[in-house]
Amino acid sequence: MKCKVCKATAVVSLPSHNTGFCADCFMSFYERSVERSIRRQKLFTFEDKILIALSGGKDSLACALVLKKLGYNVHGLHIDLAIPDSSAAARGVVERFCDSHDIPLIIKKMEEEGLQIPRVKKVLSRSVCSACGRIKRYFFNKVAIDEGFTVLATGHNLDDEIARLFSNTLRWDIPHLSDQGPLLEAENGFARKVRPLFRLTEFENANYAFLNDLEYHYAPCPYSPGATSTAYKKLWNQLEEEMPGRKLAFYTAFLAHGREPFRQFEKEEGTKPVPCERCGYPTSVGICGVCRTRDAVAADE
Amino acid sequence: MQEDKVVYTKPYGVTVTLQPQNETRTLKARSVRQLLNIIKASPATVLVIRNNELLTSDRKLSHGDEIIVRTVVSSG
Repeated sequence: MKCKVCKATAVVSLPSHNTGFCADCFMSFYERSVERSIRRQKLFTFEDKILIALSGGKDSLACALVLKKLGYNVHGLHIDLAIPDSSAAARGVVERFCDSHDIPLIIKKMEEEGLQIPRVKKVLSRSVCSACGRIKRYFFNKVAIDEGFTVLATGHNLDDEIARLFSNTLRWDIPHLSDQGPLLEAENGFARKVRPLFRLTEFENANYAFLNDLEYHYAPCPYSPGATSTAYKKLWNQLEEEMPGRKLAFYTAFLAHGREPFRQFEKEEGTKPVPCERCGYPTSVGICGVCRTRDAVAADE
Repeated sequence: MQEDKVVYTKPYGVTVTLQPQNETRTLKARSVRQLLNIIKASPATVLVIRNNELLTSDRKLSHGDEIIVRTVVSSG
């Protein structure tokens, strides 16, 4: 296969775009795609102070690298979850990445917060994944607001977005369908949230990370087997192989036609978040999930 | 009495390391597409790497090639 632009040997094939690229042309394609997403969705500007959540995986590191290359003011945030045989390696990757790309880094240690994930897992009767996700989102938001960042960015990709949209659609979950998208404005105690890689697949991010010689953490989380999002991604990858481009079409059509009615409905019928009685973080009622989890861990000591 | 001469050779094929499991197998595959069919992987879910170079599905493989197939689908 030849590169669509310069006719050199292609190193990346993209059936969804019916094309292939050499290394240099793929990187230009990728960076232009991110630039276009930022501009068209009005995600942020060069004046914004951007906090990027860095897990150590290919997506978050690719996100930080591309924004840095494009000239944005980026800072990293890593949540150390204290998971044995996983967290130390992920944290090391993030520290080396930020150091070599001159990106200031904030590390939040869950052990110091009484929320180390193995302890959280012990007190839960269900899968730890949703609690872990909630804890991470809590601290992403808290650090963004406490430290004066104007934007909170994550490396969520098209596959993540599709898996979530599919899951929400299967349950017709109106509150979640109403706020899914690449941009969530700051309101009710939440920071402005953006997903600059929403048009790019995991495959494209992995290629970008590889071609930029990024060291990234690719070992799966030891607690993740059985996660529903993995099953949805598998299903969608099968569909995409049969019908290239279907993922992006499904997602962009939702943004164009599907989201607004759910948003309107939620505006009229939904519940407005209130500050948690304990920590002030927005919650649906009373004490927030993270404070309750912290209490459960402390009670188990 | 003359002893039989035993010659040990590497089996014909390409050596494939699957990541993140880090399993290594030797397979008879003449192209990346054949290799991916054998290991039942979709081209859009893995990076195929030879000598630090990415390979698309139509690339030919040769005896003795050392290939890394790295899954890109994150779990959880």
